[in-house]
Amino acid sequence: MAEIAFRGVWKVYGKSVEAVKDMNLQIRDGEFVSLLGPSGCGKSSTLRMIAGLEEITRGDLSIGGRRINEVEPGDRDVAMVFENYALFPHMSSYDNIAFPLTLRGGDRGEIRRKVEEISKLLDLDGLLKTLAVNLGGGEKQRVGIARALIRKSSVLLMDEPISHLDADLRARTRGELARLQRVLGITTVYVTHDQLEALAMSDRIAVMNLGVVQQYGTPDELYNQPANMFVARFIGEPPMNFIPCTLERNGSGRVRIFTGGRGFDVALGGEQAARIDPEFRGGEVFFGIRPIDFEISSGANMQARPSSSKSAVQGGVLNYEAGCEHSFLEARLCEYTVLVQCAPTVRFSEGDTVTLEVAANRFHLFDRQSEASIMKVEAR
Amino acid sequence: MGIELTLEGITKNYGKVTAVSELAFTVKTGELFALLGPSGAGKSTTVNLIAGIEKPDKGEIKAGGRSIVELRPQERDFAMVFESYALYPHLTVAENMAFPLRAPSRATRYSSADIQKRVAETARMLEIHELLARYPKELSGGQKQRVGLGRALVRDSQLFLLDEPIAHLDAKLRHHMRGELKKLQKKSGRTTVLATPDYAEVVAMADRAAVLNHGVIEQIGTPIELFSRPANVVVAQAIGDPPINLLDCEVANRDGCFYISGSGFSVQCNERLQAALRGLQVGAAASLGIRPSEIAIHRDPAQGLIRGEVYVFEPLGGEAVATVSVEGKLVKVLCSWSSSFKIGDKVSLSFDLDTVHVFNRDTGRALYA
Amino acid sequence: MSERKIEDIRHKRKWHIWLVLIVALAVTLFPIFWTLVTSFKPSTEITDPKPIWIFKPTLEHYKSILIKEKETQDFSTGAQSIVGIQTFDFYKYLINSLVIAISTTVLAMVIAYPAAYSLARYRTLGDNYSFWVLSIRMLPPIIFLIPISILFAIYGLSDSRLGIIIAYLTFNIPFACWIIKSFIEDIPADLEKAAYMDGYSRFQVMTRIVFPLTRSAVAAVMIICFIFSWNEFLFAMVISFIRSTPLTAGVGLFVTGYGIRWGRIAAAAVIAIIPTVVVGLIGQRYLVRGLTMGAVK
Repeated sequence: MAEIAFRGVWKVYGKSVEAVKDMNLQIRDGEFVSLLGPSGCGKSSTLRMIAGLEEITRGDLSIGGRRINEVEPGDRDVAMVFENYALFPHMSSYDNIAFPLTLRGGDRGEIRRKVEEISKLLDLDGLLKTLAVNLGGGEKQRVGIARALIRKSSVLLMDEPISHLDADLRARTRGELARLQRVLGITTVYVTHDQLEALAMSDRIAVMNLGVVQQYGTPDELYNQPANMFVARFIGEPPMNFIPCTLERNGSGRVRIFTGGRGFDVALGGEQAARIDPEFRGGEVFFGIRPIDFEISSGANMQARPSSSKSAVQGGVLNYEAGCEHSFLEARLCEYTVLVQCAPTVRFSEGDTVTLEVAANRFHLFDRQSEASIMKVEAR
Repeated sequence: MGIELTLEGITKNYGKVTAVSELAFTVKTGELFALLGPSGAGKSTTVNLIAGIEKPDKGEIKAGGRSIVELRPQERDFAMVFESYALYPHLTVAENMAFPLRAPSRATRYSSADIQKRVAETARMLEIHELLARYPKELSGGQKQRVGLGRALVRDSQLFLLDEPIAHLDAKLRHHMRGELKKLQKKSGRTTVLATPDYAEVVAMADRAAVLNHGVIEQIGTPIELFSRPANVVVAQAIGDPPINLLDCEVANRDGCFYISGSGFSVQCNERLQAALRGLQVGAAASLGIRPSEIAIHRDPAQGLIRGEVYVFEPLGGEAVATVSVEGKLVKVLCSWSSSFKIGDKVSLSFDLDTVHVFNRDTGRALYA
Repeated sequence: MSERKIEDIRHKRKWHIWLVLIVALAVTLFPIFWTLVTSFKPSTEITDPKPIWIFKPTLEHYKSILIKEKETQDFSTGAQSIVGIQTFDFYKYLINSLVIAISTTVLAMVIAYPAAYSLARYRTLGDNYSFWVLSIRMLPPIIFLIPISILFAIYGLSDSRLGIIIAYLTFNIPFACWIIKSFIEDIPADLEKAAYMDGYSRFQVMTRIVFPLTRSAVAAVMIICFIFSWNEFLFAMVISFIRSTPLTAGVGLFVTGYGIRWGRIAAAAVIAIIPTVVVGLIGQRYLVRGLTMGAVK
């Protein structure tokens, strides 16, 4: 069993640089977990602590139930794939892949069998004799992965393995990696700053910022129920729009959300109001909507309809960007600019008026002070 | 305000490697023309040749009807924005922007007061007027990019060259800058050449574009033309993400009617395809090109036209990409996030004959009526 | 377990380092210290077989160098101060040293900079040419001694400041060229392309963009050239005779047939050290920054 458990783990560099603060994380056996965040958030430090390449300043880290803080990296049964491949350039792919086994001695025939088995899995059959220095980026990465997997370790660690590949090679390799992990069932921890990679491949994602885990959940949970504005902003491309508003509770379970000036003024009742955490009595909030969650009706004949399932606003089109799969609209709502994603067939020009609606279950609200979500957490 | 740019038969070699070969295109006055291609396709070489930083081995470059191939960069009066911004680190933002106006070759044209005025105006337009006293190392990526842009805009040059100008900005800023750049270009009316590997930029900004592949132009046209009527497989794959799926298929002619058959399916062609396939030689191999957004995926293997098995399912936030293995070949399908397919699920795919493309498998060329 | 080990290592290393530093400092600085002490010692106490640490300091050696005494015989020390034709003309030697060192430094930079630029930016004469240039500096200077002496004699450059300057340039130009070249290579080529597009010629780009960005390297190289030229002894000794003798060679004149005038050597040496120490102290900031930046490629 290869569950990984962090209990109160801290990583402090020198005297005061707190790279990882009080991490409590459980990774199940066979799970694919991504550590996602901007540079400097502590994700690489966390990975390196699992590998044993960094000292754990405080707290307990265990793999498979065994506390491994003091265990040498070589004894942890953990394999790692690096961002810059770390292959021996003048050895062949075969030698590179076989290296962890030949280092420990072993029957040549046995080693050959294992290398061929893993090469077939990673589609490297024809490249075994090629020198590492002559391989392309994607091929080098596969050799690196094969080398990591050859010893059938219980845990696989990957540190931004595909971030520097070309966009289309990256997309293809992403799919291959996701499939490989499912097929092998090996517990995997994957570090990346690309939220698309994390969403595509992970069972669960830990979003980190400045050493603190912001939210740990399935891609669905992170996308549809972000715990705070950092997660809401980080996950989803293009990023979520935020409009500052004030929230008031009227009696009888009604909620009013409005912005100042000529802004919007919407009343929510019944089920939409129920989505909001009842503990939140009212105050300054941010209204969050993803560009893809706007619905467009053109023409100027919509008004806000109280206690309806939708809330509609009008805005002026600032910019229209044509696209193949989607088009984008930059619209001015009151004093705020929002980005709207729409079908490629929809066409607008600068200066047009557009009416936007948001479905009741597609908006998010955040406390303006704490930036935490004030929506009720629903089981998904 | 701009001029027309023409390239004819431009070839450039570096030792044994051919960077670009027989390039020929015309950029109309005031047009935003894009060069689209992956790294190594020859975009930067082309931009450098137009700028005068490199000399072609063969061919002719004309600006406004006059040959400029023999002119050095400083004589061509083109403005360039670099991927790396190339801001002078030892000069302030204001001095960076004033630098082109102070060039000895141009010094007679601008007075000191004139220079200050132009710099201030341009800075205000790009919203960097508060940064004028700062040095490049104190600026963020987006700010540096706008300073680079300002330096190019501040003079009345005849042509803009943009070499992957927004490649290193984060996604949100890139979206925003695409709109800004397009507006600026339209307002200034200056002929512009944009080099980029990102097809989304081309679709959003360009009036026309050339798709470059290994130094050769595959097709020139408006973004819509390139997307809906790609001349060959390379162009079809250059635009769209995920890229277009290409399925090997056989074309048979039975009783004067064309049939396309592939992995476990056979369809009679509609009128559009009938007309297109008439151009195919008898016995020639064909490929069917279907975009991931034009394929529907069904849980019931019996429902669709093509049977396959789910290879991997990648939710991407809002939508998902399902990769389906069809007789060994991988087909990517855009579907909804909630479909949650698992590896190994048996599924079927169907497509609309009106949106598919047919290519000659040997030459890669597309077949149209 | 591993945590504790690392702490131990850190502590141990500290006093090892101190020990090594103190020994190194002592070994390096002792000769200078002793020279300084000797310069204030009366002559008799200098030559005493026992090293004398406590003595009554005297300024006689300094006086004898700095105050010009024409054709005197310095009987106070019991030896003659003249051997052959020369008197120790301190100020002449000082000016020679200054002229030679400053000229070498400036000329080396003026010649080496454009050469370095050319080597860095253009594939002048092939990829290995820059190594050929550096290799001149790698040769032991002594092998140039005889050829240069003969050449100078033929062309009338013997005993001339110009001759010494030319001899020094032989080593300083390759050195300056090599260092500056690697700094220029570190400057992104895009900056120059941008300047061309902005309307500047190649030469203007070199002076207005590249040169300002290599200022610290230029300063470092000039400091080293100055110190090298000031301290150089072998060529100075061989090429100069009367007119062009710099301070280093001049000090050598104290080794006479009648005995070595240690006191005066010490005094002259102390004075000669001063400019290099001053230059080094002022420029040490540039030296560290200038030299290490180029090494990390």
